[in-house]
Amino acid sequence: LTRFRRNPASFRDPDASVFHHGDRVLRAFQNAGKKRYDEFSASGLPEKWTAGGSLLPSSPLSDEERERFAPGAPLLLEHPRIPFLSWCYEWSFEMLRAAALLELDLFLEALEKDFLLKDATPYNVQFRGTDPVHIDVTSFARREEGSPWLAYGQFCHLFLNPLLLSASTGIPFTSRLRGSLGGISPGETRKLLPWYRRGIFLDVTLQAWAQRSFSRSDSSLSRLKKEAPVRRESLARTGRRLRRIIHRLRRPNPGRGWSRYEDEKIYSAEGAEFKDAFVDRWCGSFAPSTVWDLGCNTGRYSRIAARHADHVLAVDASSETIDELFLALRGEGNRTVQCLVMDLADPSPARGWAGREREAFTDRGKPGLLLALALFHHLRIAAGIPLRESLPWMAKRAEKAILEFVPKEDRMARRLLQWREDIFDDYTAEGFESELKKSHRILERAAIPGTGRVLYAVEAEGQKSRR
Amino acid sequence: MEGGIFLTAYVDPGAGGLLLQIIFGGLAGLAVVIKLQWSRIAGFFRRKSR
Repeated sequence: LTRFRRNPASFRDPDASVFHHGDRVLRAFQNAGKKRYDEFSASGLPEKWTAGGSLLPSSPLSDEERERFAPGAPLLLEHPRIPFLSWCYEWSFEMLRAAALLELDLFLEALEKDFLLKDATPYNVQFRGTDPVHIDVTSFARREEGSPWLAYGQFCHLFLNPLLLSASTGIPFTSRLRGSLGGISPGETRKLLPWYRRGIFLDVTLQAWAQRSFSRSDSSLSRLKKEAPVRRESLARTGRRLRRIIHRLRRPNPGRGWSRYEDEKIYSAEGAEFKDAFVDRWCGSFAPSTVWDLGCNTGRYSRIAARHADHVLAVDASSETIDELFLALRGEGNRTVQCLVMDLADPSPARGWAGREREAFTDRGKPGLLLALALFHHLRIAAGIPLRESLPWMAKRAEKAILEFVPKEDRMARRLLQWREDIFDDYTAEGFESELKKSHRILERAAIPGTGRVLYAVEAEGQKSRR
Repeated sequence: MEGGIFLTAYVDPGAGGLLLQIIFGGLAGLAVVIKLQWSRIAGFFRRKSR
């Protein structure tokens, strides 16, 4: 029996909700929701945006399926699955900027046809490769004459303020957004940014003031709509202004990401070629549909894996590194590799209402193949996680893996040890192999020429060998 | 902060943004905002003179 369940994050909209049936993503509408959807469809925008890739496609299901899955609902849509759901606290600066610009483009275009974007949140945006896509077709409703843009504050909390703060201070917004799903308020932003910073007076300083003074007034939305209607052109001006501000922001610490190239300079030309060939050969042999490259660094091996897989998730703890990779992949037109900022020693927990709205990283799927190249020495020495913890964690998520062991004598490992007492007695090649063998069978083991590093191709015990 | 924590918990975090858009809306909006502020100022003086 295929499991049928309601999406745990889909409860806010009374007129439509998302369900899952096995792997399928379905959206059921109530009467009011269907009316809104029909109106919006008649504008031609969903069709145009879907074709252009900025809106997730939806296809209405047959009456028969509708009666089966959502009896009584007047409309049932099916959406294609996003390969891997990611949230804004796992994005780099450029990823959040791309999502923000997408939302503003949709806002402005919808406005021309007299529709308003009801929610302006990064939780409505997902990535397919490096392309942001708006996933919620119910976010658009006919504009009511005189209505302000109700989602403007939300846009500032979750897009503008994090981007402004990050661009201005160089501090990634990820930890802050992970800590608060509501984002960063104008009041907080105002306190953290220098007052003379360009482009913040209206949307930060003045909004913070308005927020404070509003809290003491006895007015209301319905009264203001009547007394001071907001014209459409004024809304468009707001959208264009936000677009200009965000477009102009300078990404934090440009060039810092490239310094991580050093990790790769450890190999001679021969060694690099050897490692490339090993990864390429085993990716081809495992032929996975999905790959997670944990500790992806410059994405060299994510790109190699992308030759053999439909989807590659490239994960790195450094926001700057992911920024460089994201921009490079976008330039290359690579549509297979998706970027993610996350410290593997502290993977994203479940967040939101009842701890179920945003799933933990490890609950969002399993890869067909896991790459963990030069990762475990970071986990062991820098994060203090013993192999008896890190290897079983890895083993639980991947039946097939390509791993690289970096010995303590390695130049990069020595650097990690430089300012630490060496209390890592378990961290040896023998220890690594014996821990690994508890769950996986070693299919190939190869020393990288010119280094003390060792590559492994492994498969879970109990997997039927195809060789 | 006179608003205090109790009052803040009852204010939508997007409320300031709405007020802002109304200010940008032109003269009518500005008048409404001044009116909102005016009652506060007037109230303040009334209390004093009493």
